Amino acid sequence: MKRVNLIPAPRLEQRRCRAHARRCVKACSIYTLLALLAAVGCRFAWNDDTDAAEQRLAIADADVQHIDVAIARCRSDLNAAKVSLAVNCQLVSQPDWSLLLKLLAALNGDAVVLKSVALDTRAEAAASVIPVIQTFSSSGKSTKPLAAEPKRAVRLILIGTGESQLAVTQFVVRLEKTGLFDRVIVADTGRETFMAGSAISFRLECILKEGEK
Amino acid sequence: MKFRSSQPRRSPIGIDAGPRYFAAVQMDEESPRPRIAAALLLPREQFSAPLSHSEIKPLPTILRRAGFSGNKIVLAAPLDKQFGGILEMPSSDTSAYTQISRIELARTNRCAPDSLEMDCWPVPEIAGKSAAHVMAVGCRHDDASKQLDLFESAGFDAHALDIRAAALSRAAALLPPSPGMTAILDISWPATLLVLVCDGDVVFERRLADTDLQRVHEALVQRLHVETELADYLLLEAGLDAMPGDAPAARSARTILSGYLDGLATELATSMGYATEKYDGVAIMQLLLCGDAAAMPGICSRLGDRLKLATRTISPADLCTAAQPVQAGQSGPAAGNSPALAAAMGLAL
Repeated sequence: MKRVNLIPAPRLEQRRCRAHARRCVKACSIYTLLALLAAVGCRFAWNDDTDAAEQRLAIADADVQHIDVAIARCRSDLNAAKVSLAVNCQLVSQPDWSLLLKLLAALNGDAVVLKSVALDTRAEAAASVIPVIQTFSSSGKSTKPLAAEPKRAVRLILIGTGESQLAVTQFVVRLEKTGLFDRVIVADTGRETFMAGSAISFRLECILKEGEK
Repeated sequence: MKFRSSQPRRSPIGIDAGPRYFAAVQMDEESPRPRIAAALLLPREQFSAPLSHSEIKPLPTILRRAGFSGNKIVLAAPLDKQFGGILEMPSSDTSAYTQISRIELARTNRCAPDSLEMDCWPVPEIAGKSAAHVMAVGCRHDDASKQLDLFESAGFDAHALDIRAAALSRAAALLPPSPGMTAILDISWPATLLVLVCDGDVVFERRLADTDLQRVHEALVQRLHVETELADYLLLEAGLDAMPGDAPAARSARTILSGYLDGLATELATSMGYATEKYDGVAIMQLLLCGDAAAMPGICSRLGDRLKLATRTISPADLCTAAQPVQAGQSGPAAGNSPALAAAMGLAL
């Protein structure tokens, strides 16, 4: 038996598309609903574990806060220690001049009395102290003399009175023998009255060796 | 394990929207034999008025109350918008028949080939012609859409837009098969349609000229000066047998109806003679009457005598066992036995 269908083909196509869209929407709705139900089920099923995790998280938070406080405290202690260390380093870098004074007291003996001990750190005049050194290269040409830098030598100035000229000279020799000084210069000597008799006054300039400080 | 729905499986609702009635039939598909699940013949609010949305809108509710289920429907294409005929195929390639028929239908109806919907099927060999022939029918998309939009906007789901001739051939196929061709005459208000069926396929279709019921009805009203309802009664229920006597009114009515039936018989004889000649050697063995006027008393014997053919009226009750008492509209004939439901039943099959 013949069946005829004169419904326009574009209309049938539109209808097919609409039906397909409806099926898709239904499938998506069902999927969404199932996913939602599954999510809700999981939420209820694992509710206790979530609470325990929250508690652990709170404890961890408290620990972190305690550690933060301790770190802050340690940091302030560290800063104080750093300051103290810097001060100590500063102090340690200064020379111990008391040792020098003790040495001078041992060297002067019974014939010499020191009236004044002073330190002078003024630079020496380079030209007067350092000689000019001439060098020759392999080509035979002479080079310019090297200009010496001014020395910042520390000078120990000793003013005192000796029983005699010999005692002063022996004192100078003893100073030179200590090896502490580059040079010991007798800057000035003179006779002066000392108690009932006479004595030799002197002024010595001792240039300390570099590194002996 | 098989799950069964509580609702029995039903066919789509066949709806035949005529100028006077909405005929609707739904079949029970679970029954091994064809069985009517619901049937309705509903008079229209305004006879012969064009279908409107306001008229169709309450139809789903009415059908549900009458025992129909579902919203799938099968409609018949309007007869005046449907076109077609027998076309000769230049090629023996059967796969090209549809394309050739489409182009030929578009050419004869002056429209683009893609603006119409059509179908075709081969017919028996035609006398004197060696080429193959097909029966082609079609309808413009615009015309089909108008009809479909009206019903779909009321909530129906149009499953198919069939042709009346194919629906009648399906209904007639419920009868025991007969050799040769079967003629089906559908006498309805807007037109009378002659369909010839051979081996279940429609091989000839023709609208007979000047034989519609509307014309006879108007003649009864004008000549007898009677009310429309009385003219309906004379035409559809009284007929030739129920008007004995020599009263002038009865004589006039008998004259009008006899004249109508004689004219119809003449037209039928001409058309059937043409078809018999066309399909050489295939005789018409029986005439089946259906439509609004097929229940008219005396019409079978009158046409049978004139045409010398076995003639019978087909109604849903004849064609299958009714599942339940069918509903009838208030002013319509008894719907269960009404031949006016034959086309709707064919659409539902």
